[in-house]
Amino acid sequence: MVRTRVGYAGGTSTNPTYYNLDGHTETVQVDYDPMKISYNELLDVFWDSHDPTASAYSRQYQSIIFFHNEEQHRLAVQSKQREEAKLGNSITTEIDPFSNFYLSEDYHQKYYLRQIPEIMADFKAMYPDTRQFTDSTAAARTNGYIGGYGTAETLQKELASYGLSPMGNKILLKLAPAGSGVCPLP
Amino acid sequence: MKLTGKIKTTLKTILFTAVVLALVLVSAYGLRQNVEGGDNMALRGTTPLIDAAAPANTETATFSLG
Repeated sequence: MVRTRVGYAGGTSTNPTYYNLDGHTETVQVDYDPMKISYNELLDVFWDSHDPTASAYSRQYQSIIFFHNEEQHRLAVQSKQREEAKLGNSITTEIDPFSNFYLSEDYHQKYYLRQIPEIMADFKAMYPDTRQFTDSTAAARTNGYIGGYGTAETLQKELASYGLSPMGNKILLKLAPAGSGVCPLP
Repeated sequence: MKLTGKIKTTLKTILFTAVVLALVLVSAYGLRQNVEGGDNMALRGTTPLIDAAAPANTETATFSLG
């Protein structure tokens, strides 16, 4: 996993906001290295991360795979069929063409990381520009560890590459899971 | 009169102690902020190695988890 960002997609209105989505759906977007993880593996993580048989309250919370090209479309359809067969139940997830993506407000990006002021201060020093912060691999992974994913072992291996201050490193190590959680996105 | 003088002296002492204590606390807080700020200041203009080495050829996937 190289970058992550959250946003709104699929609607028709321009510049949606959290309080005025107007047909858009809350989404997570992942930039990944296809040499390290496949789209099929991402789809497996997608199915395992929520209940795809549940009915959505509204368009805002509809389970959707937004495909970016025909290959993703084909893999998503096959994957959905496999998942339905596995669950023995009908899946409500839609498979729609990717369209009209807008980044969510800044305070939604790297949400877990934003709750730790000392580490956030490090990233603000490195990335005063919010867009650069949002697109940072170091920020995405730090956010994941604070959110309870990954292991202390993998964090130890790459912590030095995150560019944090000694205090930031210390706090992140303290917050990282003790080895139980496995990060699904290499 | 004597009692009033003692009260005044006591109040002055309390006031003086409070001011000194406040100054000490403010200095300690400022020092801590400077140390933390200095820590962050050293990071200005730097790029994490993992970001500098991010692969150029990535693909994008978008999902809504409901």
